[in-house]
Amino acid sequence: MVQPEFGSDTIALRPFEPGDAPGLYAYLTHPELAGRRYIPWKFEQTLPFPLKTAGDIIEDWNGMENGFCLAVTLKTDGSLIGHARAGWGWDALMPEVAVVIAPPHQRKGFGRQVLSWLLDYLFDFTVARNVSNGIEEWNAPALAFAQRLGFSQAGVLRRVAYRGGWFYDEHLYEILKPEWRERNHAA
Amino acid sequence: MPLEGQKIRLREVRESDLPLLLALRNDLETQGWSQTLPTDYTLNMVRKQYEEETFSFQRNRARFVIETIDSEEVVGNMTYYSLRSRHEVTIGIAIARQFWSAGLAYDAQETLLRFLFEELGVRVVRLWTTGSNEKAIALAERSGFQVSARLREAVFRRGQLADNVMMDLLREEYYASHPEMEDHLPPL
Repeated sequence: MVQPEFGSDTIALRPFEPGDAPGLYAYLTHPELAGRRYIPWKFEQTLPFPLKTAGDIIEDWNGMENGFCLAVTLKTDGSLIGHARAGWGWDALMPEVAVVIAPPHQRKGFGRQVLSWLLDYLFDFTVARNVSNGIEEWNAPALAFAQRLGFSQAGVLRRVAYRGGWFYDEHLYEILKPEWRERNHAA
Repeated sequence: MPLEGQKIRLREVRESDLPLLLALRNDLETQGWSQTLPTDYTLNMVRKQYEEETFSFQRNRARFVIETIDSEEVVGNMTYYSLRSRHEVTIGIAIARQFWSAGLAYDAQETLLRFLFEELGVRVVRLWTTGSNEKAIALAERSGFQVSARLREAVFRRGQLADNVMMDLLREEYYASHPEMEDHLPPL
């Protein structure tokens, strides 16, 4: 039976467990992730939060009805280094994805690997047609990253949040199933 | 006191409105932006939804019926949801078919926008529709909304893939198009 691929020599995706709370707390509260934690809106996006909240976030993710959030772990010691989320709300044709890698583990290709797994899964194992990804206007590395992976800009949602004394916009990027497949075949 | 427009008012839902809300729900054109729900909702389901609304001071959504001022006829409903205090909110509207093209939707939309900007003090109002719903896009544009994003082929409607369209209206854009009003909320 064909299975989705969620592992490489270096990292793997797996469901979150309650015991992941300390690891999740450790990287979500990293100052570089303030404002781009990609956690449900009811949780704090910028300020520090207590350890208990990390457990609540995991519970929330594991209870998602139309989507999932998986833990990104290192193969070497199993440590938690990020999360990968996909949610499709009211229409399974158009899931939105987000990938967060803890700052000390960024720029090693993990984000690209995880997002590729997510796209392969959504296009090969679900009815997804259009996968989108919202990125803050100030997050230049993520904007460049989305473009490198073949996403194109669908528009700009104005004033999504307030940070550092000004409202900022969210750039919405998208990729269609045939575009992703063509890109994979070309590779 | 209800929110008064030129031709309509927005007021709370009453039990006597439930048959119209049911009719809106069971019409694929008016049931909401998903437009993928079965048309088998019953009056009991709608009544249960109505009865389960509880009193709270913590409200991030609301639903009004749209009633004509002259004849006090209920013609549709207007909602807002996903309110983030003093920041943003998303709106939705549905008018029963027999009342289309009478300017009631525009009046209702303007009435709600006035409440959202003048009383709730939001900085941006959003709405979602499909690319094939040209009437909804034109209605929003008439109030100053602009298309902020268009997800290609993201919804399926009437046997066709269509775009999912997101529109938004900034606070200063709203006041610029209403010179009779003055914005007294300082910019952030």
